[in-house]
Amino acid sequence: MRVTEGRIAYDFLLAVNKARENIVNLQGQLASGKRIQKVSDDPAASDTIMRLQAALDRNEQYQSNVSDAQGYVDSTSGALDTVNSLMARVQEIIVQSQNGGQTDAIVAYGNEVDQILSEAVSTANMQFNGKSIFGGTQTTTTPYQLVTNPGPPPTSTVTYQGNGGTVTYAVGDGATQQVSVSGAEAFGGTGIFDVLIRVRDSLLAGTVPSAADQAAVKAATDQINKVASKMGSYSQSLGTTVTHLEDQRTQLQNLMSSVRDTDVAEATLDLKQQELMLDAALNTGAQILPKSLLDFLK
Amino acid sequence: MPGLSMILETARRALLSQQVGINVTSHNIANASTAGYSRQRVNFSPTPALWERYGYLGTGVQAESIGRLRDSFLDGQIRSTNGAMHSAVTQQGVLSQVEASFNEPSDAGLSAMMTQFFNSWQTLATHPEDSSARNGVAQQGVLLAQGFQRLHNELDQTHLAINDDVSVKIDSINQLTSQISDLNKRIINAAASGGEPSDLEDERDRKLDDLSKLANITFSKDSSGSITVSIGGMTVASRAGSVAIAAREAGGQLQIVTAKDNLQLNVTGGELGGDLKLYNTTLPGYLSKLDELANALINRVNALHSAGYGLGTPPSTGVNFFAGSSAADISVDPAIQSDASLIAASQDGTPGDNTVALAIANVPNDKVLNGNTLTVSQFYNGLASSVGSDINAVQSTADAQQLVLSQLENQRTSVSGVSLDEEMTSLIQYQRAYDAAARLVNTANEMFQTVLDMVA
Repeated sequence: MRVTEGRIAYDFLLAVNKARENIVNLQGQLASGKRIQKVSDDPAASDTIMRLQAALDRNEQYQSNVSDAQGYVDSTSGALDTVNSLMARVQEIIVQSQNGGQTDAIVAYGNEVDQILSEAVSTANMQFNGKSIFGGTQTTTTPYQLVTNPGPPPTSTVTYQGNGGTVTYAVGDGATQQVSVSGAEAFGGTGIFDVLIRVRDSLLAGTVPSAADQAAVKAATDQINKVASKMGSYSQSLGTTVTHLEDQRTQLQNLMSSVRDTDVAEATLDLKQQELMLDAALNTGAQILPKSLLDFLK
Repeated sequence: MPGLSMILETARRALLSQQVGINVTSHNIANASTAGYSRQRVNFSPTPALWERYGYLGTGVQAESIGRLRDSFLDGQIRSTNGAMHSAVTQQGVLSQVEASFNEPSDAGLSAMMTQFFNSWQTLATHPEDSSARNGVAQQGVLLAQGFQRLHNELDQTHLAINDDVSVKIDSINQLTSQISDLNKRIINAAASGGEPSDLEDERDRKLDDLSKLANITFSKDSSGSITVSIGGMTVASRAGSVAIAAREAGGQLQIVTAKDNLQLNVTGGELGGDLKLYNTTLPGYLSKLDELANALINRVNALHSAGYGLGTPPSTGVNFFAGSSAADISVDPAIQSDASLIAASQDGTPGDNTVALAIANVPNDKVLNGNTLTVSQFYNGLASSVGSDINAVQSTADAQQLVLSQLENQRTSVSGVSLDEEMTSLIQYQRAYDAAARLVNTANEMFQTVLDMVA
């Protein structure tokens, strides 16, 4: 085959261009640390990257949801504990009043129960992040209203402004977690406060609370204990979810890195190889291109 | 019986012929770097012999013709490869712009925006009564709508810019076809006056090469040396003249027609063919998929949203979150933009209920596209990666055709290209032959002298 000077020059430029193109490509991969910078670098892998990135972003959101949920559950548990210990004290007071004693002492117990009542109501009105935690889904209104007519003898009514709804958070793809308990469930609506009012009224009148009231106090305490242990299980489940989400995050990041990141060792080797090829092309070009019959004609 | 003067005459013809050879060699050397130049060669032939009783006596040499070395079969192959390659290269260029518009995978693409939008609904679900969470949803909604609109506008711009490109290319084609038919006439005239117009033919071949980069052409040469060129089945240049073409848009489809008679040309190759494919098929495909995605998203979110309740007394309901119906006009409902409390998170009107917010946050898992088989992100990821696959497809076509073209060009230069080594060798040959012929003149001269001396 005839080979012309123009052809040699063309082939030389083609080889040099190709080598330079490859070098620029590899340099980009090494500099950015990413093997895939645009979809056409690897459409299938790009699809995977977008999917993984979305999953990572969602994971982050779920972690923030879970931490909110934990706050919610913890403050609910705290409030329930407080009410629980108040109720324990009321039970004690009822037992002590039954042991007999001066009317003054019984009335003093009545005053203490009055204190406990308003403490219990304000605990039931507790807020977390500006939300009334026992209001069901009526989170922006104060759930319990205690209206006291000073008397004497004082008369009180408690009304419940909330509802029986519960709040559920998303804590994973398709996974939800109930985080709240309504006043209706925890306190039987106004039930627990009505009992407290009856106990107080009876003590203030100097009489020992009835057996029925004593049983009602016990039942209310049991209900609070039951709800508290439910919150405990929520809290535990949230703890597991956190671990799960963190594991998932690590896995996703590993996957992402294996799909997207440049294998530095491999890219460096490739780069060296391309540099070698460029050197070879330039070197051969420098030797062949200037050669001509003219060099030898005198 | 030939005389001494015949020797002189033979030597004279030899001198003249070798000189023609040197002239052609110098023309070749001078055009060694000229694009599309075919090397020329002198065809020498012996002049008619004289019959003598002892046999035929040769009378020397003559330069019979100057021809160019060209393989017209290779020309045909190169031109059809040109058509396929330049179509792919044109598409690759435009698709790279489309890819840049999609800007994936990145933190700034539509994929990330959709995730952020739905994450903002998650935040709202954890704080349904909170106005900052509501503002967050409104903001992310606005950003997402802007993202859709930006992508749609950029694709639209790219789509429209092809129109300008097409008209530039049509101008080039019309210019080339008129030049080719002009060259046809000059070549016929030159041939009629007995010459072989190599340089004109080279020029016409160059124009044909250029034309083959712009559109899929077929061509045939007739006995007079004129070339008839067709694009997509329509004759555009012949010895009779050229036919101007124009672009015409009908129903969103760009067609190439003859300017005068409005007859359609089936342009499938070359840069123009690439442009038509992009304009008529590829880009409208992307745009309609993007609209489909936006529409599904709008409908799904609105269906959930309008059934829910916002804040306020009484709680608002029946409000759409998005306005518009496609990627071009998607926006967050102006009422929501000015009052985020209209955002519906609750299904029963109580401020702490987050059922609707959770349902909207879960839209990425709802299969709402492609006959309810794909989620919005699956659909979008498919669209974005299809741009990448399309680029790769035209890229590999371009690479493959480039390789074929390079082989063909290699063969063409091996036939037609100027080799300086070869020309130098010819030069020495011609020069030596010229020297020898000059020596003949000298010898004849001495022989004359001898004869004259004999007379004296």
